[in-house]
Amino acid sequence: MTDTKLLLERAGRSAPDVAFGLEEFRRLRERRDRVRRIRAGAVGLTLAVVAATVAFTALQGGDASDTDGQYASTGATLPPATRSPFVAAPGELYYRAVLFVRAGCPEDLVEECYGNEVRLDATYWWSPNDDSGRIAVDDAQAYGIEGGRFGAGAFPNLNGIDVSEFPLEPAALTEFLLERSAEAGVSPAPLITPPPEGAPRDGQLWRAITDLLADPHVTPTVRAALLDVAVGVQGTTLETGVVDPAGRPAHAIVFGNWGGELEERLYVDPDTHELLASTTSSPDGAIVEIYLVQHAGVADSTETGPEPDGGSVPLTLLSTEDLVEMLGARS
Amino acid sequence: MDEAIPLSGFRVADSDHGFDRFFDEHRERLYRALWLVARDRSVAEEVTQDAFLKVWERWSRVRGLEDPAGYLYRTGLNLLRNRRRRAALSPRRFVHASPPADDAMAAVDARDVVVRALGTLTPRERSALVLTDLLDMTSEDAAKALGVRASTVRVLAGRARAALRDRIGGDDD
Repeated sequence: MTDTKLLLERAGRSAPDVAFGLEEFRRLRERRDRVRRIRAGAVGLTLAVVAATVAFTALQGGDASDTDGQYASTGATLPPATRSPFVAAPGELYYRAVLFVRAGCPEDLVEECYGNEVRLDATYWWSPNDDSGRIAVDDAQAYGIEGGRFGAGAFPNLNGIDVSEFPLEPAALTEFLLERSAEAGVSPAPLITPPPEGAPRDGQLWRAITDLLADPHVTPTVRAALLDVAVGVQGTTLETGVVDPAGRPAHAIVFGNWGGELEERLYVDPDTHELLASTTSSPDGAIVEIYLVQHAGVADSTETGPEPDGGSVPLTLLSTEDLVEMLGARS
Repeated sequence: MDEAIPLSGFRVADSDHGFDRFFDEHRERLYRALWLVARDRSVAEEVTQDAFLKVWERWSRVRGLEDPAGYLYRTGLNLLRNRRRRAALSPRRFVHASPPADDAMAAVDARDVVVRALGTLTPRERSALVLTDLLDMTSEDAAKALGVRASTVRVLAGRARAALRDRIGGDDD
């Protein structure tokens, strides 16, 4: 046995006791098994009961609540969209050109992001017909992304989602997201600390939504539904008549993560309810990250994009360099 | 990325053979290895569970492998790497996750010079060192888990060993 191995074994013994055993693991896998069976449609009756429960809940007052009553929508809604979300016809692809920048990590946090400023300039084409597509990466720094062309079923799916499963009605979607993001759900969301107005489930739901908004598998229809749910999360505020970082007209859904100290803002296109941009500001109010949709819509092939005035969001020609210059400004 | 072992159905009754024993034999070792790399108890626990879930889903195939444990450890480190990548992808999560220090790890740091020295390494150096020196993987197998070339693993592990020796040698604890 090498000296290093001995040292590492000794170090490993300093680990806190592992808090789960075989019984806990069995419960977890049984739950996963159940979720999969439900997802596969093998338990149609269960689905029907869930649907009936959701409908009943909606009839009772329109608020979505989980079984222990910890979650309830505020009932807030976005002003109505003036256009329907874009839907790709057979043979068409969803197109999104996005920019992302984040300020470099403070020295004491380099473990989490390798100490680098993060930048991304990428374009996604995704076919909902066969889950194929293309990712073109024009600039990526400290950002995990794989560019290339992807055949049927091979498009990267980091969130492991099947968008066809997503309900669109806000109460049903809320239940779906809460189930999905629960500790033992399909995609557990990390606990985040909501602002004082919110409860833990609000933070969990907010994170589940924001994790999905930038996913290229999420269609404009589902994204609009996600934003409809987001605006009802306890602790959010809605600002209308604002502009996004590119100066485009927007509604802003604002959430105070970390007990209200970090401000997350989702900018929503008033016409289509598409996501335009999002920002996060640090406790001192400075913007530390910006995600911006340059253009979005549907395309005929992986070589083209929508016409400049034919997208689901207004085209902006800002670059990552432009966004970097905005970092540190007040939102 | 996961190795290309296709899902073989999801029938608990068919896939339990020997799994419980495998779980008991490797749970602690995987958790400790992940804890050394992640330096966070909850992350190590979650990834350990997820790694076992992935192995369980494929158990009818994995148990026939020459080294099922190796597959488990590669899966665990793979998941941890993906999680870190997703943290970069989802900076809001990063912003939340970073400020609260792992108090348990801080306490351990104070009493264990090796753990403290490991904390000075980069995540990739820690991963390479743990895979090769603690879990006895070849550079090639570790490379699969880390998504890098075997030569890179050797460089990372070598650098980590040297740094570890320096830190421990220079520490009075």
